[in-house]
Amino acid sequence: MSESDNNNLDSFFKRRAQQANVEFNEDDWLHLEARLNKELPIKPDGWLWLRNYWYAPIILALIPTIWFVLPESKSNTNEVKNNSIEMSAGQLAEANVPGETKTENTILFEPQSNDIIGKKTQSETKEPFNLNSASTENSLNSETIKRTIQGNAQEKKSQSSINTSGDLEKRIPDINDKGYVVLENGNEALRLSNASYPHFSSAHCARF
Amino acid sequence: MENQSPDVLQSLLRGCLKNDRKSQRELYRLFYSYGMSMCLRYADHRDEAAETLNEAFMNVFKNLGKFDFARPFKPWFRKILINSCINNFKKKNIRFTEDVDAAANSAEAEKILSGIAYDEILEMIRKLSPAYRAVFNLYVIEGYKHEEIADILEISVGTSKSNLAKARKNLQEILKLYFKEDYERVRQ
Repeated sequence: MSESDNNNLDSFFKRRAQQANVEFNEDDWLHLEARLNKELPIKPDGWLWLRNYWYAPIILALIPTIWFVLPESKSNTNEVKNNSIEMSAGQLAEANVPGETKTENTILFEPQSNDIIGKKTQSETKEPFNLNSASTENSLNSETIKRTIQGNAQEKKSQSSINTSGDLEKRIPDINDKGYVVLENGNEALRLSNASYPHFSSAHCARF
Repeated sequence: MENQSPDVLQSLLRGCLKNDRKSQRELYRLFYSYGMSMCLRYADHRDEAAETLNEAFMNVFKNLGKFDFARPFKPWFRKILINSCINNFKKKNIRFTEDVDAAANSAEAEKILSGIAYDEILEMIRKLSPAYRAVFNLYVIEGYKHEEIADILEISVGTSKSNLAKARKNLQEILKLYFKEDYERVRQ
């Protein structure tokens, strides 16, 4: 075969090959797409990844809300709980009426600056009743309260420090509108309601 | 594909770089005809050509990060295409040094349809043995030199030249057969 024959043949095939026009076949793309999904899966870039974490801002917003609201609501819950069992001065007196049905109550105490209990040391006070075994921490039933008050009154009487009256029932201290126990010397001793000092236990009450 | 502006092509390539399916599909659609026509010349049948083309595109998408965007895309793509076609040959354990003239014999036995269309050109090329076909495609259609072909196919330069000569001879015979049948058909 001569060189010119070769050139003619080559140019013929080259020319025809360049005229090729193959129509696009969607199936071929689908095969490739399947391979791409397997070997090069789509990863959302930029901020698009947030679409998968749409709930993240809600959680971020809830964290501070929970942080601030939950202790408040817990406090409110305690207050509500305490309100139901907390005894005002009058209620306490009524609860101590002999023969009446006793309900379990919780009394929370808020020590004040002029709180005589706070000023006393534990060694100075006696605990005539075992209140811890009578009920849970921070809770006393009205009978216990009554007995506590009476016991302390007796103790105080024996010490001749505050009251010299012989009638124990009359010695139940007056409680003013603020909920403070008013001592006979006119000082406010402590208040029988507040959720701010839940740690103030029945032991403190016993001292009174 | 030729009408595609460089800016649009660059934009598509950037999209492909981000693994954007729409960009990948558009690039595939743009270069489908070019790639498929090349793969068809190397493959034994259409499905094999499509598989080879997809393999080439997979390599494009995987290695696009290595592509120099300052350079034209088509030559880079062409190189990947040819590599895929040659790798496909190698997968089939085709010996590029074979010296068997099976293509001419089979060509004689087959009827060639009248009117040379691209499909018929493909058919003629496919009648060559894989070793001849590869060298013929690389040398005549792609324009590679024998040294380059020898390097790509891992054969000697002499083998490349020999295979090309035999490929040409076989194609001449196929063409003669084609024109003879066509001539006889006209006479009848």
